[in-house]
Amino acid sequence: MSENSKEHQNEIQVLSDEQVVYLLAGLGINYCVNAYDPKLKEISDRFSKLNLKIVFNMWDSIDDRAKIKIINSNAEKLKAWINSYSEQE
Amino acid sequence: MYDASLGYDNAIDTTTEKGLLNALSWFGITTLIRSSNLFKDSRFSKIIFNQYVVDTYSEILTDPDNLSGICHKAAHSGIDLYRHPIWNKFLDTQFEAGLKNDNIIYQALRNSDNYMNYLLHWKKDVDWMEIYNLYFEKQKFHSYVTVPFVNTLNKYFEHNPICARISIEADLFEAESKPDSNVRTEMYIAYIKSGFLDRKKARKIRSESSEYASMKAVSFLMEFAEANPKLYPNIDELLLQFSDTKYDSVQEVIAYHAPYRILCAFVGFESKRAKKILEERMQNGK
Repeated sequence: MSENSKEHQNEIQVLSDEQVVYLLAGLGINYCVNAYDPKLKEISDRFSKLNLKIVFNMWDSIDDRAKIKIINSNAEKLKAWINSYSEQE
Repeated sequence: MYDASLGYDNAIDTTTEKGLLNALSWFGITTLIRSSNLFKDSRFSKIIFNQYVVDTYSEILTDPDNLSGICHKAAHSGIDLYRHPIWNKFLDTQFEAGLKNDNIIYQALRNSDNYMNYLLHWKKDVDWMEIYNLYFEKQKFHSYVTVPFVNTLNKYFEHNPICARISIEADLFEAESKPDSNVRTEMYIAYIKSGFLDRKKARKIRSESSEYASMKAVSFLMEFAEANPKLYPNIDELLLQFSDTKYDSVQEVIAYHAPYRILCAFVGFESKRAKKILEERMQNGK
């Protein structure tokens, strides 16, 4: 077996099923936010309104464009959080 | 409802959280397997070598274009995908299904990048007689001879020379309906390469109905015998079978490349060019 194969063999199953779905969904949203297809635009709009706890699991695998979409969609929550944070200071 | 171009099942209800994640992961797997970094980016490798992925997205992974793309990228990254436990069983299943699918065999024959050809390369227990027969059935009457057919022909002789000899002799020298002349040319070359050519068969190549096939065969024979003298110690006798060939191109190639010691046997050639070459060689003494 080649070195490359051994290396990949060691990586098998290091991710849980849930992690795999989030990683794939992250790749999927990166595809959708850059698409012109209305159906895909609709999906990326729905994604931006997803529960933030779910988005958190995908955060590291999504592109800046998708991140900005989420931030814009949750602008009020973000502003409130920043406001409460400043008040604490 | 499955749209292979997008890798997305339109039937998925994206209005629910679960449905949306499901749809996104379908786009994700499609993006992933089409990425040129599939086996180069460790994040992607971790996903592709995961049992859950192979089980859950089998509909996308079994698409012949997608599977061929995955095998192509693995091979070009030096990865023997077939030896990974997670992929081994999956690929075996696809291989067995492919053998029973006429369309897959046709695609595999026409395209070296088809997954079946990668699996033929990776698998150690291939029945080359079966593969050869499948490919030959689809190739025999087509003049464009494909690389996978030639590779399979050579593998057949390499792994099962006795059976290969019997079936190739039957198709080349005995069958009523013979393969296309270009296919015959490749079969002659593989047959000569395996060391089976004798005087009787050389005579049959001399009587070939295709001038091109006869010329290519004799040309390869001279070149191969020179490089492998132990395999054809009787090369002179074999070439002498062509001394009364009617084909100009065969006469010319023999006049040009035959060993000097037997040139006299070809003085009866009628081709003007062949005659000229023979004269020159005899005058020069080589």
